[in-house]
Amino acid sequence: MNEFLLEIYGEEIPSSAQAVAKNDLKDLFVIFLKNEKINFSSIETFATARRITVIIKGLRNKEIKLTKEIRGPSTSAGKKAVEGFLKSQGIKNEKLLLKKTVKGKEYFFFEKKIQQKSLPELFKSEMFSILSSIKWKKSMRWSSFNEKWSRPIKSILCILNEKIINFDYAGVSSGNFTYGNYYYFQKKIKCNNSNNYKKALRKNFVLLDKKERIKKIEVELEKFCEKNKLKLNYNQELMSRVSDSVEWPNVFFGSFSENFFDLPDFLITTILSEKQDNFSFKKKNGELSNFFSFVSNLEKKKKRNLINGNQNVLKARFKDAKFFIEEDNKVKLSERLKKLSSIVFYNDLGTLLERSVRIQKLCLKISQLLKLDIRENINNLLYSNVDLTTELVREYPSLQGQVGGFYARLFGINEKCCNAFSTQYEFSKKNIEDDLSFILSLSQKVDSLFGFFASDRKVSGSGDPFGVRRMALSIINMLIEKKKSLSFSFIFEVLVEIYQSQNIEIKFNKLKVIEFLNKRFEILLTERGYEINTVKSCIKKEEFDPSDTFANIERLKEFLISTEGNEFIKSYKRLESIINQQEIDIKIETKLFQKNEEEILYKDILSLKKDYLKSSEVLNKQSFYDLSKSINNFLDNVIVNSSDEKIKCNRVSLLKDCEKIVNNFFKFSEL
Amino acid sequence: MLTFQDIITNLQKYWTQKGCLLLQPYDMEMGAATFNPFVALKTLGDRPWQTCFVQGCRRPSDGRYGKNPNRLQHYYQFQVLIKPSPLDSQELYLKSLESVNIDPKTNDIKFIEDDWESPTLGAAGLGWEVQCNGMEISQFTYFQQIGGYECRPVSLELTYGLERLAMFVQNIDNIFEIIWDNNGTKYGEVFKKNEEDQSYYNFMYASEKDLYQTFQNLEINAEILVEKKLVIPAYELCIKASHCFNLLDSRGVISVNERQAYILRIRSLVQKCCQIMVEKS
Repeated sequence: MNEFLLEIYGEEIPSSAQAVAKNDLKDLFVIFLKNEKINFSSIETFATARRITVIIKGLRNKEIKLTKEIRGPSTSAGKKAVEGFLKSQGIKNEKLLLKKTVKGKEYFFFEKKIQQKSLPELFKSEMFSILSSIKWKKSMRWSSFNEKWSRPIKSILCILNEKIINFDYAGVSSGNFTYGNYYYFQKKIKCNNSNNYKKALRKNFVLLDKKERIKKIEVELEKFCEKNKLKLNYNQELMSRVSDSVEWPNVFFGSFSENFFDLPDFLITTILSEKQDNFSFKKKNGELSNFFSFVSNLEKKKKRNLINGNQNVLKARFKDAKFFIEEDNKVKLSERLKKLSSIVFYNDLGTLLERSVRIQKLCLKISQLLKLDIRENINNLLYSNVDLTTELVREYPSLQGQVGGFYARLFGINEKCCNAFSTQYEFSKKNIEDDLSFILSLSQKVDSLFGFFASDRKVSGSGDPFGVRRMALSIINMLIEKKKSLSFSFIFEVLVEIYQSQNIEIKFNKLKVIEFLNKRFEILLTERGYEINTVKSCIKKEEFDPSDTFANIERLKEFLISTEGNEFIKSYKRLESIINQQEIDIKIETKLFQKNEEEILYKDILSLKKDYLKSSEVLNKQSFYDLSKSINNFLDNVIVNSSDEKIKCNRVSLLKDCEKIVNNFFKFSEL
Repeated sequence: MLTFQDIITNLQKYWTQKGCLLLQPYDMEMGAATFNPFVALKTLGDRPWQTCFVQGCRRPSDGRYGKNPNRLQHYYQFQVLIKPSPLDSQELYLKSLESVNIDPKTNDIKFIEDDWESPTLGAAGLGWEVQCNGMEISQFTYFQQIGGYECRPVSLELTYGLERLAMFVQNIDNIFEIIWDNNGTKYGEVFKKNEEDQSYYNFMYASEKDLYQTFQNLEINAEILVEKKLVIPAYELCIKASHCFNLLDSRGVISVNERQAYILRIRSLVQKCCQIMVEKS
């Protein structure tokens, strides 16, 4: 058969961990097989809630006689040395040794045969290391064992060519048996190859292949949809999670009272899919249906308990939500503002109402800077945070924002503003398109970020408990996507003033925060494949303006791959190597110029200065190319180290001036 | 039909037969039985320990003035802690369900990933939320660390929400209708008034000023006790501080961000208690 079969069977493994195990085990086995020069025709990995399986077929161990040459003493060495070498190699006869010359000197060599391990031995010696090398996002120990796995292991099946490979992992010894779906049959099942293994599993209600499980669910859902003229709200994440949660998916259907349709759809579908792992359906007219569906290991004929139970749970959850909304509706938005004023934001950054006011002011300022008109909604923006005082958000914190939009709508606030409330916490691109949503989402994040630093908190080395890194990334992404330049050194000044107007004492170190933000930016861009030095050349120490910097990076990138850019960098590096050792820096005197090259370089510098004053953003390739020629001519024909100290100083300063002006455009010194 | 008290009796009988020592409820307000020192502190060190007990729990912000049929600010947990975790933990648990008339063959018992974490205790474990026909009835956790310290060996923690379990077993959809005893006493007769009154206290009348002050005092005193290495009273003050924080939270005066800061303050105290425990063992 020449096949290898491994199954790690145990307690319920989460969906995400199943994916990691499938992936990593495949990689780890392939690496092992390649290292050991073992040929194979195929490798497959499978996972269910209770087991991870590896099947390798067409295994063939390359028969190579491996030997290793071991160098002994030099042939001119004494007898004792040779005897010692023979002893160390476990041989007696000197004739078994070879003589070879290395670097002009002759040595004894012994060609030692290396005992080649058999295939079973190779697998046996590698199993522990492979199992402990999976990079789980989360793994655990259990009982008194040190080994880790996603969840406790109950048995290990490990077979090579129908024979057991014996090893131990986390207190479990490998064997030649597995278990079926434990809801149906709990006894050991013997198997000795992948054929009877797969057959046995199927017979005992286990679909090993995820694709098959998904297919089974989809077919049953489709049948239901056809019969009831419905359309499934296909949710890939949910489908993946559900198909990983059972070994033998049976699909069940239930319904809830239409009375619950006064709950907003986003709430109903969130409860269904996120809280209960249920599928939802749409009617032909696009409205949400009151049918739902769930998947279980259990047989269809036992459905009574299941459906009643699940319907009851949903009813309870919906009733709960309804109760929250009724309670919430008793409080007017203006009363909620009052409630905001009694909730502390960070303990030294005022109340949530003060935060709302800041966000409102910041929105106005940013809209002016970006020339986006949001005046019509500026008063409504004060309510952007009021959902934080609602029961519904308390219960479903992940719906913060969406709930705000929902309530604002009930209280008659215009649609545009409601949408902005709904999407403000999103990290996706959803809130880029509409200007109001964009500005609110941005301001909200900027105030949080500013507040974090202004309350003198520090970002810890690992983790992101206050979500600061995530916020920074979102701000960067939003501004780059929207292509809006915004000076944060200015925005921070504005915020300092706003905080002061609220009598909130802050400790804000602008440069440090800009440095933090630029660092995030740098990491983000290098992750996206940008050259670190190119990025560094465009980042300014005293400013954080992602969109502007990003445009510069693109410009520099383009310049660097052009012929002109290439030439310029060469000449720049020449120039840099000369002035690096010089500490002189005086005002240039044109009357000290002796050579034409000096005049030309000086003129080029002046014209670049003019360019820069006109627009720091335009990088005129031709003028840089001309400059590189002038630099080269200068360095080729002018002796910087003139015997006349005055002239020397003047020449060095001219080069330094040149360096300064080009570094105004980009920090070429970083390249 | 099993009454509320039958369920407790059956679980106690089942788990004591499996070798657990039956404790009585701890006399302090806490949000979950995990806070009980006979759970939290016992998960450290290498001495075996098996216990089970009922613990009254308080989550002030879950109060609904007795009006919501699914929610209470005071409720009961049945807690099991076994160290080291047995190799047949899941089988033991499923069998325990049979002791309260839940047959895993006709009811859909699902183990849903739930990586349990108590930020306040600095504790983390891996395991599942156990659902029965879609309803969460237990929490099943392999304790990995507490107070930042690794648990070796690992403890198994099982927590049954007794009211949920009773609602399921008795097939009713209102907590207050749970039948408590063979005389037909209902849960509501015992606890409804309590829920109403306590909700007023939790949401409206608990004095913020006093709570802020109490929290601070508890923190200061816990530090003093930590210095004297009096770990149990020090840890008890952490439990109190945690409840104090929960009350502030239900008064709605702490924002999402501020919560984090309070939690970290309690955690750092718990961490110090755990450090003493680790040093002692």
